[in-house]
Amino acid sequence: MRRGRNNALLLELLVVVLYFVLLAAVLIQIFAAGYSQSQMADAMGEALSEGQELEEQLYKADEPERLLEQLGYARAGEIWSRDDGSYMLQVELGWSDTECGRLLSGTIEAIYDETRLFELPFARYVPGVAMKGGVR
Amino acid sequence: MMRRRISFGSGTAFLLLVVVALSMSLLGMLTLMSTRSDIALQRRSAQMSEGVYDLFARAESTTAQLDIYLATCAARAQSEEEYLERVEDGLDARMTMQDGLIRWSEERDGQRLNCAVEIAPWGETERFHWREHRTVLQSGSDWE
Repeated sequence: MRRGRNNALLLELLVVVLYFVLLAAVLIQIFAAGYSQSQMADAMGEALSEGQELEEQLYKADEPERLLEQLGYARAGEIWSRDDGSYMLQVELGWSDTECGRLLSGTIEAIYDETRLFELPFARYVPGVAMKGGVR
Repeated sequence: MMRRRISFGSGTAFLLLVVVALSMSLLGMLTLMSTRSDIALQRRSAQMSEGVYDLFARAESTTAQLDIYLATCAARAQSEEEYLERVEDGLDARMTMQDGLIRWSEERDGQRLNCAVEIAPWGETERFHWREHRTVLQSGSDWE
């Protein structure tokens, strides 16, 4: 009688341990997903704040390319990029001449783990000084 | 010395498992909900910024077009009065001119950027000066 009761308890413990292992496996995945999403949210917040600051700096800068160089951005063709560890900011800039000045336009793109987080458009018009009096 | 014997009856382990499972599931659910709302908030914030900077970029492109127009009017005019008349007559449909100020709005997804530039006197090198650059949310938009 006592032996039979011990066996039932052992079986119950075995089932409990098995379920516990299953539960732990599922919960670990849930917590890992939560952690990874939290990391992404943090990276997004930081990248957004840096992107906005860069927009303002680019708007004020006399030489935007030089500013990017000073901020540690590496150039590859028309694209400037900087890896911040958790996210990467890519800046694409291009000048276009208008009849009366120059228009600097481009985008600031944030990438996290090969996923695009956001893309901030940028433009700044620099009126031409040589066009005094207007165009004919 | 008396030793107290702790008995571990059948069903106790199962009950413990149920309590642990419920509390861990609740904790996991709260963690996921919290991180998802964090991400949603950041995405909304990024979307809002994309909209605002897109409006700024559009405003800059508009000023580039406006500058060409002002320069053309300046070149054809013979006096300050004629210059202002020419500017007012041929202005873009979405622009208005009053007391030397040209106003217009850039709009996108419930966001609006009110812009105003002041026309410089005829013959000046810089044909306009920024006076207003203000973002507003339209009533009834998703952003409110």
